[in-house]
Amino acid sequence: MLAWRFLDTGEGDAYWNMALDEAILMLRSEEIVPATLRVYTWKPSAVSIGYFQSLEQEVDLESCKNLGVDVVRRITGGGAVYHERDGELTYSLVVSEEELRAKRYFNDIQGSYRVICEALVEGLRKLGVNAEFRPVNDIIVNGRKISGNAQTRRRGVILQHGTLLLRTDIPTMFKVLKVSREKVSDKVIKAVEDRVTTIYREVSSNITLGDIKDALRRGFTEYFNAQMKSTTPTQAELDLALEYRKRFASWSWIAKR
Amino acid sequence: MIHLQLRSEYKVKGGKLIKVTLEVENDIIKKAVIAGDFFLYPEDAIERIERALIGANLNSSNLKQMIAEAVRESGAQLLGFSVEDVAEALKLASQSRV
Repeated sequence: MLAWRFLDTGEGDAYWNMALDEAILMLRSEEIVPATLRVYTWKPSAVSIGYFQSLEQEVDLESCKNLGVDVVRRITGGGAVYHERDGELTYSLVVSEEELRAKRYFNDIQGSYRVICEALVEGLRKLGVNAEFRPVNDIIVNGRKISGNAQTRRRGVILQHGTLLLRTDIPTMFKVLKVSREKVSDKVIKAVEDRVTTIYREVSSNITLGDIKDALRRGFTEYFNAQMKSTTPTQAELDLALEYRKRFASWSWIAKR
Repeated sequence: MIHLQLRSEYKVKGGKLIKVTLEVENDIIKKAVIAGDFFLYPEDAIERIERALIGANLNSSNLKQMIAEAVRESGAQLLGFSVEDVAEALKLASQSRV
């Protein structure tokens, strides 16, 4: 059995959250830390944009400021996400390409999305949610998106992080993101609500955030046949994350594109 | 001298959106930004691809080849879009002049 780690780092701000993911990635690539599944939430609520996105075209900075929503640019591609403080759970998996090699789809980047997303799907099934992977990078339930995922790599090590929608606040999402040029009518909001779903909508019984984290952990454990040791970040990770945090919080990085 | 900023949004089959912004002087590309919600690895290859377009004529039939070459030279892997999609987005931008 592979010895992996499980980190529940709780609430963090956007810059710290992204910095710690990168620190784990770097230290895994130096073989200082093992493969790691991390779960976390965002305080305050934040918008993250993909590496290739234009800040000005995607984010309404004025609204973010007024609503106290942070804005961060990720090191991973993909789209803009509104991470509501209590409305979304984020996970990250840092794992070497070598450690995924046993999985059958693993021969290219798209295949590695599938592999990691299948582990997530396994976790969702533990909650009774009948989820499936939809390429390129989504997980859906009955055709509705519940999770978006994004990846990057450093020296043979993959970082994949992604969202798990717990509940939606689409009116706020429309305020902080510049969603096309369509007028944000009730009809448009309804259309988006029809295209996405959430854990709390899909699971009828009362479940806690802890139950969801636990389900993810069990899903990844079983899917990868790994031993998942629950622990906290190492001092080296915390130090490096503190260093990286400065870059993530800098205007030159946020407004890079 | 005619200085223009040209923009386009191109929806890729499968859902990704490419947003191109070009700064153009007398039809020569001075700056290109290829933004969007796609994936490209390594990520900084995007800057190399954008740089490869600088100095090119907006109406050149070689733009697609230039992109393809920069992608190859940087060893970049594209996910959710293709070189053809970027070329299409550039073409749309070049046609966005009013």
